[in-house]
Amino acid sequence: MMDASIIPLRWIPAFPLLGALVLGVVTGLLRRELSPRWIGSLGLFSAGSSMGLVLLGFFALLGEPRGGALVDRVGTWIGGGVAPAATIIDFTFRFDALSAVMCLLISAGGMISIIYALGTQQADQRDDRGAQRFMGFICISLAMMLAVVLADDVFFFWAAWCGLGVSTWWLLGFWYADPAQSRAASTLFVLGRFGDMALLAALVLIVDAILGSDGTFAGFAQIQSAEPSLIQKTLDPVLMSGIGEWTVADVCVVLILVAGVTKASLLPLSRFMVAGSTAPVTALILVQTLFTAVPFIYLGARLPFVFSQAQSVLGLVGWVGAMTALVAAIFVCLEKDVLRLLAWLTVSQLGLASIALAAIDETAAIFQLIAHAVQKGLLLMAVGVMVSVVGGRRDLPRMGNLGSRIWRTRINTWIATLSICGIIPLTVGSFAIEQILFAVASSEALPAQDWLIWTILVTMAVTSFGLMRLVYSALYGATRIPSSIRWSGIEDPGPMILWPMGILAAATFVGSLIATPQIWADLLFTDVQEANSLRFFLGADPVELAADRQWGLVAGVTASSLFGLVAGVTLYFYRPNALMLTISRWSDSSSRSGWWMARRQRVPSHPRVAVPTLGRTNRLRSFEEGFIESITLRFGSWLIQSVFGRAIRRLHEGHLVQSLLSVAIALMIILAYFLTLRAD
Amino acid sequence: MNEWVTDHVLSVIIVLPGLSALLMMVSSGLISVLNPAWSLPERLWWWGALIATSMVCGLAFSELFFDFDLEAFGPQRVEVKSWISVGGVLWFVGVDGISLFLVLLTTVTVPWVLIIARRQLQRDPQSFIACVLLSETGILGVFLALDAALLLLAWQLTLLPLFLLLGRWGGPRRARAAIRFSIAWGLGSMLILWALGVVSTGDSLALYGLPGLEEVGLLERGGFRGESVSQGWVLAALLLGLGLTIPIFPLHAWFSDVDREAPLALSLFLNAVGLKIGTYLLIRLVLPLCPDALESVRTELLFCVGSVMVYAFLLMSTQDNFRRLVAWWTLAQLALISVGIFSMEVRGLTGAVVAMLSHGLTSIALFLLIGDIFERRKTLALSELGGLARPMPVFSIFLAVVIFCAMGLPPLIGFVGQLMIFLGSTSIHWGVGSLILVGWAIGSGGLARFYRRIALGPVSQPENRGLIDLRFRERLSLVVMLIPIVWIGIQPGPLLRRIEPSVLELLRLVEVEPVDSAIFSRRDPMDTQDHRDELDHRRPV
Repeated sequence: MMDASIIPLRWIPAFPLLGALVLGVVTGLLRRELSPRWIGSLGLFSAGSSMGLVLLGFFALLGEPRGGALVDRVGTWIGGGVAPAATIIDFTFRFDALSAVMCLLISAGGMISIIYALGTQQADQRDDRGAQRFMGFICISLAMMLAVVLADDVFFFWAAWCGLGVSTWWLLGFWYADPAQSRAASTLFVLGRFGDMALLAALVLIVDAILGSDGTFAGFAQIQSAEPSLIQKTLDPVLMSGIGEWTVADVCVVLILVAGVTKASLLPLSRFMVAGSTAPVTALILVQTLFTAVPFIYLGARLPFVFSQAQSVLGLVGWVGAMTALVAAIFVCLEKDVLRLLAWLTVSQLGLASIALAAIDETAAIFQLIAHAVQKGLLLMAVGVMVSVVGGRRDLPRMGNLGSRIWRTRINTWIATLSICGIIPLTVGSFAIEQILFAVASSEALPAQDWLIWTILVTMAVTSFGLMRLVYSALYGATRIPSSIRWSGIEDPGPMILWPMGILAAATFVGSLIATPQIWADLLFTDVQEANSLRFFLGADPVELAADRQWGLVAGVTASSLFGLVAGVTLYFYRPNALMLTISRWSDSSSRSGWWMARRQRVPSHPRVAVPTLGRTNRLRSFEEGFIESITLRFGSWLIQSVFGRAIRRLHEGHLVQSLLSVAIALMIILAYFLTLRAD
Repeated sequence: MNEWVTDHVLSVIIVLPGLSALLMMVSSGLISVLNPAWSLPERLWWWGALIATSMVCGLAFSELFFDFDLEAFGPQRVEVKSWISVGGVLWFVGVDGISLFLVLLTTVTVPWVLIIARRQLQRDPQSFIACVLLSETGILGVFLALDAALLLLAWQLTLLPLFLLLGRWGGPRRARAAIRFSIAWGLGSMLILWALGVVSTGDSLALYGLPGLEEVGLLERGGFRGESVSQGWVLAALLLGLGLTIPIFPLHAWFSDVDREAPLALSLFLNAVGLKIGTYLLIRLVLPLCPDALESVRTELLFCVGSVMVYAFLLMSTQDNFRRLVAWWTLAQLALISVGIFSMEVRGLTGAVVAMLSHGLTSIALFLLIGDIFERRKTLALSELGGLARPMPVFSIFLAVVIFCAMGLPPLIGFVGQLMIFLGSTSIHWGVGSLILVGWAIGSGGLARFYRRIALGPVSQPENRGLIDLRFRERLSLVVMLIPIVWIGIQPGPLLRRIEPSVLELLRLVEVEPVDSAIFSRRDPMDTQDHRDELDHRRPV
C-alpha cells in the first residue's frame, strides 16, 4: 500500500468542491455576476486539477503490484474517541484499481461536459438561467461522485451517495421555474432517498455480519480482507418467518437492487428519469451517463462477493435489468421527444449493465458503463445540437433533413448510433454488449441464461430500430422545421461544442482497445496474451467460455442488431409508406381504440409532408404514465393525503374532549399493560 | 474573569436572566412611582435584555464549553448549598456533557427569541421580555439542577411565564391554548413529583451524592427497588408525565393549540428549547431511576416511539402551512430523540443529545425564515407562497440548506444525530432501525415536496412577484445560525468528545445488560475488558 503523501487524494473531490463553494458564495451570498470567462476558467480549473491528480494517481498505481492502493486518511469524521464505538465514520480515501477507473471516467466526463456547457450556456435565454449557478452545480456533483468512488469507509461512501442525490436534484432541476421539471427532479430525489435508506440498511447488514457491530471504522478494504463467507449467515428466522430462509447476502443484494432501481431508474421507476429529461443537455449528459449509472454499478463491482454469495436472488437482479432494457428499448421506438427518447435509451443501457452485474462480471458491467458514457455522451451532444438549431424544439416530427446542414454532427450521430447498436467491431458499444453476453453465457449462478440472452438480443434489435428512426426522422427525409427558423442559418456549432464531440467520437473507437475480447484480439492481432486490459487492471478472472460459443454470441448480436437496423433503414429510408400502409390497414380492420395505431402526423407549416411515426397510443401512455406512476407514486401520495392529510389531521385540530380522550386512552393502555401483560 | 464568578458560574448563568428581568421591572416600577407618566424606555428594555442574555451566552461558551474537562465523566462545576431547609431543598447545580449542550442551546436561543419578538411584537413588550427572561432562568435551572426538588421548582418557574406569554400575546383562542398548555405541563410535573417522592427514601432529593458525604444520590443507586411500589409504576408515572411534556403521541394534543395560537417568538422558544425539557428528563431521570423496568419494556417502547415518529413524518408531509409543517417535524424529531434515549446504547444516547442540539439550531433557523416570509407576505399558507426562488433567491438558498439539515443530509448537523440514533437502535432491534429508515425517507420526501411548493416552479401569486429578498441584516442572522449547523456537521468531534463520557457514566449507573443482537449474535460494544479497564482508570474516584 502506497502512502498518499505524494498524491493527496483528498484534493481530488476537494478541487471541484472548492470551485462550487466559490461559485456558490459569489452567486448566493454576494449576488455578483461573474463573466463567462471567469466561470469557465473556474470550472475548468477545478475539474482539470482534479483530473490531473487522478492521472497522477493512476500512473502511480500502475507502478504498484496488483491489488495495490493509495490511501489518504484525513481523520475521524463522526466519533468522539471515548466510547468503544470510537469512530463511526472515517474520512479515508482509497485509490485502488476500481476507484482509478471510475475516477478517470468521472473526471474525463466532467471535463468534457464543462467544455460543452461553456459552448451551450450562452444560448440559454430563459428567465431562470444562471451560468455560474449551473457551473457550481456541475462542480459539486462531480465532487460528490468522486467522493463516492474514493470513499473507503462504508458510511462515508453512503454520505457521499446521499450528497450525490441532492446535487443530481439541483442539476436536473436547474430550470427551477419550469413546474414539470422541478417536480420531476424532486420526485427523483425523493425516490432516491428511499433507495438511500435501503442502501444504508444493506451496508449495516454487511458491516454487522462481517466486522461485528462495535461501530468502529469499517472500510471496504477491511470488509474485503475479512472473511466474506460470514455474509452467508442466515438471518434471524423470526425476522424472515414466512418467506423462507434468507442469508445476509440475499437480503443485501435485494436492498442494493432497491437502491439501484431508485438511483439508476430501472423498472418500475424508469419513467421518472424520463420525466426529468427537459433539463439542460449538459445536465442530462452528466446525470444520464455518470450520476445515475455509475453509483449502482460501482457498488456492485466494489462488493462482488456479496453478489456471488446471493445466488438465489441473482435471477431477480438479472431479470429486472433485462426487462428494463427491453421495455425501455420499446419506448425508444415510440417516443417523439428526442431527449425523452435518449432518456429511455439510457434506461435500457443501464438495464444491460445490471445484467452483467447479476452475472457477477463486474468488468463487463464497468465496461458497459464506460461505453455508455462515451457513446451516449456523444449522442446527447449531437442531439443537443439538433435541438438547438431548431430553436429548442424537441419533436422529431419538427426536424428532418438537418443532416444536410450539420454534416459534422451527422457523422458524430452515426458513430454513436452504430456503436450503441453494437454492429461495428472495434467500437466500445460492440465490445461492451459482447462481454455482457459472454458473462451471462458463462455464469454458473444465473438461472434461465438462454432466456436472458434472447432478451438481450431482442433488445439490441429493438434499440437499433429505434435509433434508425431517430437518425432518419432528424437528419434525413424532407425538412419539417417551422417556417420561423431560417434554413440557411442552420449550421454546425462552434469548436467549443465540436471538440468535445470529436473527443468522444475518437474515444468510441480508441476506448474499445481497453477491453477487447480475447477472440477479437486473436483474430486481429498476434501474440496478445491478455487483450482485455481493463479486466487485467481490475484483477478479475478471465471469462471461461469456449471460443466457438463466443463467436456464436457475436454472430447473434450482430444479426439481431442488423435486423433492427435493416428494418429501420427499409421502413424509414426506402419504404416509409409501407409501414404506414400496413399498420393503418391493420389498425382500421382490427380496432379503433388506437392500440399500436400508426398515424401520419401532418405538420401545419408543411401540409404536404407526412412523417411516419409510430404513434404512442392511449394504452401505452396508460402503461407508462398511468399504471407505473399510479402504482408507485400517485397511490402513495393519495394514501398519505387522504388518510393523514384529511382524516387524521382533523383529529389533530384540537378539541378539549379529544385531547382528554387521547390522554385517557394513553393512560388506559399503560395501565392495562402493567396490570395485565407485565403481571404475567 | 472575576474569581467569584468563575467559582459560581453556573449560579450566575441561571440567575442572571431572571435577575435582570427583576431589576428592570423594579426600576420601571420605581420610575412610575416617582411619576406615573414616566416609564423605563422600551428600547432600554430590549437592549438590557439582549445584553443580559448575550452575557449569559458568552459566559456559557467561555466557561462551560471551552473550559470543559474532557477527562471527567460526572458533573463538573458543582455548587452545593443548603437552600430551603424545611423541605431539604439544596442549591445543587452542576454540568455534564449531556446538559452542557442544552444550556448552550438555551443561551443561544433566547437572544434570537428577543430579536424576532422585537420585529413582530406590537403591545406591552416589557412584560414579554420579563417573561422570556424568567423562563430562561427556569429552563437553565432545569438543565443544571442536580437536586430533584430544585429541578422541579425551576420547571414550575418556567410554567408561569410561558403561560402568560401564551395567554397574553397569543392568537384569538390563546386562553384555551394557555390553559391546555398549563394543564399538560402541570400534570406532567405533578406525576414526576409523585414518582420522585416515591423513589426518595431520605430527606434529600439530591440526584447525585453530595461531595464529602457518604450518602449516594437518587441516580446512583442503580435504580429504584422499592417494596411497596414497583419500578414499573414509577416508570409509568415518569413516562406519562414526560410524554405530556415532550409531547409524544397520543399525549400531544395541547401542542396543536399552542402551535396555532403562540406568537412566533414563543413558538421558537418552545420548539428550540422548551420541549427539550421532557427529552432531557428522560435521560436524566427515567434511565437511571428505572433501568430494570425500562429494559424489560425497551423493545416495545422503541417500537411505539418509532411508529410515532413515522406517523408524525407522514402528517408533516400533508401539511399546507409552513408553521404547522415545522410543528409536525418537531414532533417527529422529538420521537426520534426518544428512540435514541430508549435504546440505552452509547451511540443512540449520544445521537439523541446531538439530535436535541441539531433540532434546536435548525428550529431557530427555520423560525428566522418563517419570520422573514411572514413579515413580507403576512401568510404562511403554502398555496400562497409558490415560486419564491425567482423573487427571493437568497431566501430560497438559505431555506434549502436548513431543509437539508432537517432532512438529515450530510454534512449537516442533522445527519450526525440521526445516523447515530439509527446505528444505536438497530443494535437493539432491526425493526426499530427499519422504522427510523422509513421515517427518514418519508421525512425527506415531505420536506422536499414542501421546498418544491414554496420555492420552485412559477411564481404562483401576483403578490409574490414584487417580494424583496432578504436584507443584509437578515442574511447575517441566518449566516450566524448556519455556521454551527454546517460546522458541527463537518466536525462533530468536539461535541462527541464532551457528550460521550457523560453518556458512558450514565450507562454505568444504569448497568444495562449487554445487548444481544436482534440480527446475529455479536460481541457487545461495552463488553471489552480493556475498554472497561481504561474507563475505570479515567473515572475520578
